Amino acid sequence: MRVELQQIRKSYPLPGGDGTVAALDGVDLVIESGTLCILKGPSGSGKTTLLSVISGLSRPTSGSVLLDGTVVRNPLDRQRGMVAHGFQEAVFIPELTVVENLLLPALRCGDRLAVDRGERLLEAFGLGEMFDVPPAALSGGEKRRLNLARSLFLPPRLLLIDEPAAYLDDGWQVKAMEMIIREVRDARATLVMATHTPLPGDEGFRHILMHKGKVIDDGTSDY
Amino acid sequence: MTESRRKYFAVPLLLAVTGGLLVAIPRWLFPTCGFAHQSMAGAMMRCDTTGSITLFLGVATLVAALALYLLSSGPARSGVLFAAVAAGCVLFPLYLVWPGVCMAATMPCRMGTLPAVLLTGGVQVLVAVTSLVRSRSRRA
Amino acid sequence: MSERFGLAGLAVRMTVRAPLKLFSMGFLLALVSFLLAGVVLVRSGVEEATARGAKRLGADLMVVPQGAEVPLGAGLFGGVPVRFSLPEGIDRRIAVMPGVLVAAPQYFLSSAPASCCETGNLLLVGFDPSRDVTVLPWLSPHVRLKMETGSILVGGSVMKGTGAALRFYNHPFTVAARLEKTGMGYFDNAVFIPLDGVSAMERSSGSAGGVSLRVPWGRPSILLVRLAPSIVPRDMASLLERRYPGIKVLTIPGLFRENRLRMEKLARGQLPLAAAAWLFAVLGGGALQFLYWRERRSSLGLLQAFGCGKGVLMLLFGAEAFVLSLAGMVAGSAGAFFVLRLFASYFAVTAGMPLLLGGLDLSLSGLPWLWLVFAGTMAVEAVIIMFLMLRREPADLLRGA
Repeated sequence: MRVELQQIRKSYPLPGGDGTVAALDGVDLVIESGTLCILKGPSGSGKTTLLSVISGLSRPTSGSVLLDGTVVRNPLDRQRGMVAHGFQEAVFIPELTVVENLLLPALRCGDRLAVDRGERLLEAFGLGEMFDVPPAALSGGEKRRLNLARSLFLPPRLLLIDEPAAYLDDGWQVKAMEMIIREVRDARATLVMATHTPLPGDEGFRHILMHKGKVIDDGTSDY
Repeated sequence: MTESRRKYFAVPLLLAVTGGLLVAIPRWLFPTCGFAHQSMAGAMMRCDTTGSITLFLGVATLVAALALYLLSSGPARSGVLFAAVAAGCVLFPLYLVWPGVCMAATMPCRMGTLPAVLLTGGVQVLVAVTSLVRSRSRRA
Repeated sequence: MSERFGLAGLAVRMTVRAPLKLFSMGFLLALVSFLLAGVVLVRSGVEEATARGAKRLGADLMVVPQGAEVPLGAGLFGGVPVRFSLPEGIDRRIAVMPGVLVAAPQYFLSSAPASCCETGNLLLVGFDPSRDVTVLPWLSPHVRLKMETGSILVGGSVMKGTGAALRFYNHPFTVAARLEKTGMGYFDNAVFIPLDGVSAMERSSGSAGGVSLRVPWGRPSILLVRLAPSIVPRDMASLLERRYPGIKVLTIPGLFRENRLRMEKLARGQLPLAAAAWLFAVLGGGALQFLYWRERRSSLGLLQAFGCGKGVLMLLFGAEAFVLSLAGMVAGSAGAFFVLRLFASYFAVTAGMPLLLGGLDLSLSGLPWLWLVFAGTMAVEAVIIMFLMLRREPADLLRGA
């Protein structure tokens, strides 16, 4: 999936209503279909906001997001367009079990559930024993892995992952990256990951550096 | 308080309330005829016998509640819950069949003790059965 | 886990696995419903018992000793044993008055204290089967009182079945039939003994060191009078009171006047009470739902992120609030019914009012509109709360901002 961002601005009102702060300040970016891309930058540089704007979780104050050349407006449409988002926060619905939380992306697809795929993913992410437990019973690392597994549940055309390595030990960082890259390559999808730390196996990725809501460096290296 | 701790606390608490009520109803809250000073010629009345057995069942329920609070899981917990169900169920034939209560609907045991005990017993059975079903489905 | 995992299944799981929400919302509505249904059931139960009781008395007038109105109420409505007597020979004099079809005397007695307590403190009503207008006309034609066997009739609340043996004042009796419940203590809690039986019981009393019974023969406790259709009961009542001092003559509607007034008061208070309960439910339910969804806003963000539109979420959780509230309302009303049913005697005796609850379906038949109004309100509240919550962007909701 090709992603094109045109003059994206996103500002938030300051507490107390005194003016606004710009999280994204006129971002122009084109990510070609099949690109593996890493958004880098310090905390507060706008990486998470940019991912939210691309996935439709956040509406830009101005500017346009084009997916495969079409302006897409709401998350529902983007979901149908197979955009998957691994959130920065490992957020789950506490009343649902681990597997039910994993299956959430299939909620609106109308397909019969691929429980087998869910089981395989949980096994792959080391959560095979946690199939029916509530997410509250998981450790921080396990929650992160479930978060990643959920973003891979439906074969995406555009996969956005925020801080994929957070809370994962070195072994799981490598394993998770391998799985993400394999899934993306199998689906011939586009991958955009946001991180402020180096990721294992990110050689050959396109590295986009952000600072104060702007793209300040774009080291393109398509595979 | 953790989630699991909260789960185990609710049922013992509810059973402690029903057990406490079973102790208090026949003696103080809705006393049987003898305790309500309507004793017939100073003799032990039938409803007083029923009330005394109720009091005993209430104490047994309180002990069950304490045991449930101390027991984390397993067959012993199920056993205690079964005992609480049995104690609640026994109240019905106790009041409606034998020894029973006074025949007149205007007697304190019929007006107050019987409905209050049956209501409490019903709640106790409901709580214990629900807890049993939940613990079994959790195990399954 | 089922293979299908649709929105409805999701909502059900999110509801049944949230015991706090389930309990607090359900309990709040159940409490409100319990109170409202309690008032509605008491009102309809008293009205039903009054209507049935008035019909069952089968008379136009009730003659009682002057000043006996208060104990009469306890006896009639609560079924509490009471004793009072009319002036000597009044029944014979009234029976021969023009316009009087039947004058049926009844003697109110109470069972003797017995150590076995089986009988407890029962209201015993001695009646004359040949002049009775109150008990026998309502019995099934199959029931025959065999006087030689000491047949008696017991009220619907007396725990003795047909054929059971009973002993009062050392005299054995057999239960010939159990009367249908009316909600009036006089019919439900009493034992009706034909006068022959009362006489035999009086003779047996005192033997073997038992308590002796003295029946004030010729001075019945009450006199039930049936008039010719052309006679106006109120006029006859005034005439009797003027002619025979020391008596109080009550028309049957007059007998229930106090209850009617109290029920009218209750009826007037019903609407303000319902309004107050509705306001309480709106505020309490609104606060509960708001606090719950505020705590769970990340779940809403997640659902939006996975493609659930605002409209779908509003519909889903509005429906959830509706079902939950409806269940709470039904449970509360059913609870009120069962509690009132259990404590009907307690109510009748302490409040001095007859109470008759029909079957569950019949008693609660007037309440569904109330359930729907409350459940609908909760659903609207849920939709409004959803609307307010979902004004934030999914990204903000996910962050819990």
